Amino acid sequence: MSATHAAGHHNDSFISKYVFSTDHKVIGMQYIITGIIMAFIGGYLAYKFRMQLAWPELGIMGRADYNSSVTIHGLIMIFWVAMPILVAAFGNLLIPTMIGCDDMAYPSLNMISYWLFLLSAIVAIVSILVGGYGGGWTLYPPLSANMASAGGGGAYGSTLPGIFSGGSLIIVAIALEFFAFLMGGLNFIVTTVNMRAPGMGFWDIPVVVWFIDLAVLVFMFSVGPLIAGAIMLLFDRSLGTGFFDPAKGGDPILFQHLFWFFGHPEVYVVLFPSIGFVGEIVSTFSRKPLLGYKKIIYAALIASFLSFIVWAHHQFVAGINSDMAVWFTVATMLISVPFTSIILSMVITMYKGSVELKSPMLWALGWIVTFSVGGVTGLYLGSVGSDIQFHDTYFVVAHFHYTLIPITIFGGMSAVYYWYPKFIGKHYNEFLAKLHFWLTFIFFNGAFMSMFIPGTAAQHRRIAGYFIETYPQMTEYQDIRIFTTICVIGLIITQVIWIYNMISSYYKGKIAERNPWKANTLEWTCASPPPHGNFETYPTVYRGPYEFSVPNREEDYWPQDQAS
Amino acid sequence: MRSTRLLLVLLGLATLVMTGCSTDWFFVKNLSTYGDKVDDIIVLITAIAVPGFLLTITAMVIFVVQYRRGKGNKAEYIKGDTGAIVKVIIILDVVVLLLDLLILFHTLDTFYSIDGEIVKKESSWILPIKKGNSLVLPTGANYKLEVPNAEVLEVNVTLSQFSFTFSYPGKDGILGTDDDIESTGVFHVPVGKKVVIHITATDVIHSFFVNTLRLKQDAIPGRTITRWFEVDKEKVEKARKRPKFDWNKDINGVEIHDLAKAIVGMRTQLGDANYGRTQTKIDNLKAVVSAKKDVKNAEKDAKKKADLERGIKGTETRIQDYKAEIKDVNSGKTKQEMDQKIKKLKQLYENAFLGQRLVEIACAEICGADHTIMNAWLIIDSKEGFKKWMVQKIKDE
Repeated sequence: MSATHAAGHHNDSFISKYVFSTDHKVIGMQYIITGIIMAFIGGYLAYKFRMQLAWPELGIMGRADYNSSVTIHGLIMIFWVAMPILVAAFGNLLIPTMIGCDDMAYPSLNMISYWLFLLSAIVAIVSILVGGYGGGWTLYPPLSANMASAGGGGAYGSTLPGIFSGGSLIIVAIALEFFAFLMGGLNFIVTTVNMRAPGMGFWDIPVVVWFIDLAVLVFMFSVGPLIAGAIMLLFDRSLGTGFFDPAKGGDPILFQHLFWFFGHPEVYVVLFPSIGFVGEIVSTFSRKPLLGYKKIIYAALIASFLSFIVWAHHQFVAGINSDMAVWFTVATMLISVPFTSIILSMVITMYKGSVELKSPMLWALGWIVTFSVGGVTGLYLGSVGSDIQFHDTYFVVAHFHYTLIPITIFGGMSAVYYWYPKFIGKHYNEFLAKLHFWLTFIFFNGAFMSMFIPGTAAQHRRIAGYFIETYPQMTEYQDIRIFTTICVIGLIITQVIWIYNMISSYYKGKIAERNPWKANTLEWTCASPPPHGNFETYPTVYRGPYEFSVPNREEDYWPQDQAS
Repeated sequence: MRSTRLLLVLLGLATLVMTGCSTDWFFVKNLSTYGDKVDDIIVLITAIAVPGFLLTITAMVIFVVQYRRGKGNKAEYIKGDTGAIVKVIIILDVVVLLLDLLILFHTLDTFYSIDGEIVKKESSWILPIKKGNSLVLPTGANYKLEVPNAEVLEVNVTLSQFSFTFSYPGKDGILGTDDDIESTGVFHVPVGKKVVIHITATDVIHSFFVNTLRLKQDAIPGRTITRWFEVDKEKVEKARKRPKFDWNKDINGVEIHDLAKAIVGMRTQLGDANYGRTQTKIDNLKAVVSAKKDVKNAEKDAKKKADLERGIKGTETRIQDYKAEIKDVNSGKTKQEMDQKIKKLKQLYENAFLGQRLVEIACAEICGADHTIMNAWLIIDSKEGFKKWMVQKIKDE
C-alpha cells in the first residue's frame, strides 16, 4: 500500500511536491525553514537591543524602538521559532515515521495548517514594518488596549489606524498561529491514536512521540482562554469596548489570568518535545534502555496537570489575594518533583552504559546542564517570598533564557543532528557540529550566566540604557552588560557554522545509510531520506523502542520491527 | 577514579563558595525591617538548589567519563522499571519534595511578614484563621489595619505615565482630603516609622519598586493596593559606616533637601542631553521620511508641495544642527561639560549617601514609550527632619 502511495506521486510538479505538498516530511521542512528565518529576525532584534544596552551613549535606538524590539523579539522567538520548530516541524517529521504509517491522518488539513502558520508569520512581520508594538510580549492591557501609547501611532510611528496598527496586527498574527497549531495538533493526536503500526501498543510508542502529543494536548487545553482574551483585547483596541478598561467597568487583571493560564503551560508545550529528543538520544548513545520509560511518561502527565494550576505565580506582585499566592506557591513548588524525576532518569540512563559522545549526544548533555540551571532558578521565582525581589528583573530574563534556549537551541540542535542523516539522507561534518556545540555552549553560558549578576541585584528590565542620572545604583554593572552583549553576538555568529554545515553537507555530505546510529525506532527502517509514503512495506512492531544491550544478543540494539 | 575524586573535590569547593558568600556580595544593601527575610529565603534556596544541581551534573560527568565507549565498556541491560534504581529515584524525589516543603514554609513566613504584619487578615476564604480563642470560618478575604493610625505614616502613591506622585495628609492630618500635600518624583519618609502606602495607577499598569527596601508592587488602574515598609535606623547607620552623623545634612553640611533638589535638577539636564538627542534624531528622521512621502502625494498641488518642501528643509536643518551638537558632545567642549556634570552628579550622590539616604524608586512594569525614564527618589529622613520638611511643605501649599 505504501508503495502504491509513493507511486501515485511520481509525476508531481515542483509546486505540488515542494510548495503545496501534503507530504508530512515536506511540511515539516517548511516549518523548520520558516522557523529559522524567523529566528534570524528575532536574533537581529536581540543584537540591536543588546548593543543599545552595552553602549547606550551611542544612541543606537530610541526608547520606543527599544521597547518594540524586546517585545517583538520575545513574541517571535516563542510563537514563530520555538513552537513551529519543536512541535510542528518535528511532530510532522517524526510522528508518522516513528509510529510506522505513511502520512498524517489528514494530509490536506496538515498543509492548510502550515499555510495558515506562514500567513501568521507574514502578518507578524508586517506588524513590525508598520511600527511594531512595544508593550511587552505579555500584551498587558490597558497599555496594549491603548493605540497611542503602545503601538499603532504616537511614539511608535505608525500612521495606520485601528486593526492595521502594529499592536493589532501582532494580536491577529498570534490568533492565526493558534488556529494553525490547533489544526496541526488535532492531526498529531488522531494520527498517533489511529495509525500506529500493527503491534504497537501505547507503551511501545517512542518517548518523543508521547511528549509531542502531550505538548499538543497541553496546548489545546490551555489556548482557549487566551484566544478569547486576544479577541477581547482586539475589540478594546478597535471597537472601543472596555473589557480590560477599569474606566468602563473592565479589569486589567482579568487579561493577566487569561494570558498566564495559557502562558505557563506554553512553556511545557515547547519543553516537552525537547525532553523527548533528549530521551531518544541519551538512550541510543548510551546503548541502554531509557531508564524508567513509563515513569517518565507518568511524570510528564503529572507535570502537564500541574502546569494548569500554577499560572498565578507570574502575578505574585499584581496584587492578587494572598491566599491565592499561597496555593500557587505550593503548586509551583510541587512541579519541581516530576521534572527532577525526568532529569534524573536521563542522567542515570548513562550509568553502566557505553556512552558515545557524538554531536547529538553532546547537545543532549548540554540540554541537561543548561536546562537544569533553568529549573533550579525557577525555584526562586515560584517561591512568593523571593519572587517579590526578582519579578520583572534580569534574574527573570536570565532564568527564562536558561529554559527556552536549552529547549529550543540545545534540544532542537540535538534533534537536528540526530535525524539529519535520516531526513536529508546525508552525513554532516562532525567536527563542525562539535565546534558549533562548544561555541554555542560557551557563548550561551557567558551571556546568560553573567545576566544573573545584575539579576540577583534586582536590576529591573526593559530599560533602554542605565545612565548615571536615572539609575545610579545600577551603573556599576555596565561592564557586565558589555560582556553579555559580546557573548550574545558570539552566540549569533556561531550559528553561521551550523547553517554552513547543513547546506554544504546537503550538497557534498557522505550518503547516509538507513540506520547510522543503530537505533531501534521505526524511522530508521525507512530509506534515508524516506520516500513519499515512508515505508516500502508497513512495519509490524514486536517490542518497545529502547531494547539496547539485551543479554544474549549479538547486536547491542534490537529494532522494534525485527521479529527475532 | 582519579577524575571522579577530582570532580568531587571541585563540587565541594563550588558548594562552599556558593553558599558561603555574604549576601552583600550579591544584593543591593537592604534597609527595610523585613528585607533580610527576603534575602534569607534567596540564600536558603541557593543553599538547597546549587548543591543539588552540582551533584546532578557531577553524576552526569562521572557517568560520561567512567562509562564512555572508547574505554571498551559494554552497556548493561537495566530497564529501570523495577529494582534498586527505581528506589534511588523515588528516594531522591522524596528528598526534593521535603526540600520543597522547607522552602515553602520559609517563603510563606517571609510573605506573611510582608503582607500580614500591618495589613492583617481577619479571615480567609480558604482556611479558618485563629482569632483569640476561637476560629473564624472562611468568609472571604477581609483586611484591616491593626496598627493605630498615629504610629504609621499613610501615603497615597499614584503612578501615571511617566511619573510618581506621593500624597501626604495635610494640615487636618487626614489623607484623601483637599489639603493633602503632594510631592512629585521625590518620596520623603522618616526613618524608624511604619509607612503604609496605598498604590494605584491612573492610566496603565505600572510598578512601584524600591530595590533597597525589597518592596515591589504593581500599580493597577481601578484598584488601590496597600503595602507597608519601615526603614530600619540601625541598618542605615551601619550602612553608612560613620559612627556620628547629622541626619539632616550631607557630609559638607548642606541640607539634605537642598541636595535632593540639586540632584533632581542635574539629572534632568543630563537626561535631556542623553535621551533627548537620540529621540530627536529618530523623530527628525521619521519626519523627513514622512514629509518626503507627502510631497510625492502632493505633486499636483503646487502650494501644498512648496509648504511641505519647506517643512523638509526645516527638519533637515534640525538634523544638521543635531549632528553638529553630537560632534561637539563627542569631541569638544560639550563633552567636557557633560563629563564635568557627570562628575559633579557622582559627587552629589556620594554626598547624599546614595543607597543609604537617597534611594532609587523605579517602575518595573513596562508602561509605554518612556518607561525607561520612569523613576523617582526615596529620601530617608530623620523623624525631626521629616517633620521639618512637612511643616515647610504645608507652609508652601
